[in-house]
Amino acid sequence: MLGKFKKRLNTVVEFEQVPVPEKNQKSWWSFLGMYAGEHTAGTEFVIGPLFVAHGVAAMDLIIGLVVGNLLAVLSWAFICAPIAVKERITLYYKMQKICGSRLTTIYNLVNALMFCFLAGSMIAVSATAVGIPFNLPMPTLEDWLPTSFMWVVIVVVIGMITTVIAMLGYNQVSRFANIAAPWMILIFISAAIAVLPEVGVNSASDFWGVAQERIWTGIPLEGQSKFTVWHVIFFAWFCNMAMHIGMADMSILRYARSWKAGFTSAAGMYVGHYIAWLASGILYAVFLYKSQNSLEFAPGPVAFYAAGVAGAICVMVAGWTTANPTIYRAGLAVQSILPHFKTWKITFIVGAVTTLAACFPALVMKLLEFVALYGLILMPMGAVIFIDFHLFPKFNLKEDYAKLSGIRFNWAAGLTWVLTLICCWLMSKFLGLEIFFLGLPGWFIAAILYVLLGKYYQSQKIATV
Amino acid sequence: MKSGSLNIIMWIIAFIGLGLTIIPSFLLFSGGIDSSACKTLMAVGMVVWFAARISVKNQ
Repeated sequence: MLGKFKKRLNTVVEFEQVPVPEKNQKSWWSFLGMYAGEHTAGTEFVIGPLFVAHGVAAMDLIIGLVVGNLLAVLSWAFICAPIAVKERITLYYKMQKICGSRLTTIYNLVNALMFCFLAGSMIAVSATAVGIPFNLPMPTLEDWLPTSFMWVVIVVVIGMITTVIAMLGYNQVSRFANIAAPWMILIFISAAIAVLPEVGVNSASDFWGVAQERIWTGIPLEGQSKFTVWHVIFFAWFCNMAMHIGMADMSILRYARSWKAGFTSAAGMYVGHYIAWLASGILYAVFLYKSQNSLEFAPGPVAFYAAGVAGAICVMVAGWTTANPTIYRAGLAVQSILPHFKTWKITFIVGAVTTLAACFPALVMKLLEFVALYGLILMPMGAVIFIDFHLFPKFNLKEDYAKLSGIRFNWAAGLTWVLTLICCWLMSKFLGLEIFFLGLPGWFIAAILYVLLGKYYQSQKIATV
Repeated sequence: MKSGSLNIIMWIIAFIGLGLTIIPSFLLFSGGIDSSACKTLMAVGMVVWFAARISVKNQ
């Protein structure tokens, strides 16, 4: 089986280091389906409820999601896609050209670690569904550490199965995820409609009043911070920051015939990050209403209550189909650092790290903060690519400097990365800016730093030469 | 039966599965069925969708 899988992998040509040829480019339709599927995932079962827990008001959520998702779509269309279709190479190869192989290696390691944590949170989400028949005590919003021995056992079993599948059959999982996507979004919608009468919505005209009074009440749960419309806008915009502003989707959009394919991300934003977040928020609000504001936070039982077996399986499938490719991607990122190691061995190690992380419910309870941190950490490199591509030629600076000069570590890019993150930390510590708001000033700081450091670095290098 | 015709039938069955996933919730909302029937129909819809949709791909 392994031999057959390896043979199949060897036949795949991904044009990693050469521009995608015209005959392999895809129409906007392919991207529409991909984005809609990718952004209707296990995370949606957590994010919608966390908005409710953080006391987002109904109007703030409706407006915040329209604006935030629109900004995300525009970021894909105007920041990521134009560079992707012009270069038609992967993010990693573009980074090697600008930053050099050593800096790219560090980036890959950080990226892999983030992928492990993300996949870990999804395994934990699946565990809340798998645990239902075992009467597993579910974690609460305040739980950071493993809540019981049974929790650890279930997480480890799911983690092992997910890892083995990622080692052997990524293609099949990817296919299954595509098949599951339309069904999952209908389960979200269906489950939300089914429970509406339980909070007092008996006709469409009742909805808005109940939404304000019983669903998105504007009052956070005990121990949770209050979210405003600004939190919603910036979270919706930056939750995929690594993908658009951080340029990770260069690797996908390089297959697009036109940069306008970036607009197809709207399918993911307004189906997954709008409808699914609203629906999962309704499900959680019904749970809170019925349980008199219990602090238990477990998507599995909530979906099971609303949609029965189909709901629980949806949570399991959503968590699993998100965790699986994420482990696979993390494995690929690590393999680029250790090219002599077998892929399956690396995926196994990555899976073990992911499973260990999944034992800690903190990853689920703090998913909003983690997702924001993930985007923030990778964002400066996106700014480096953007500035290198658009502004360096205008300042008479050399693009793709690492490739041009043969260096393996571009200090201008490396310092930009570190200094930007230090500035963001300082803004958080001394100005009290929450993590959700750091991405925007952080991007401009990274852009200015890279221009200044790039100018200095290139002049020094040229003088040395 | 030709593979193309079978594919079309499988697609129709798959969409019936999706219908069974979403329509029961509207029936529950309007008071036409109870919660237990709704959940059963959604479970049937799930099985029908996956069985038919996977069959489409396998041909």
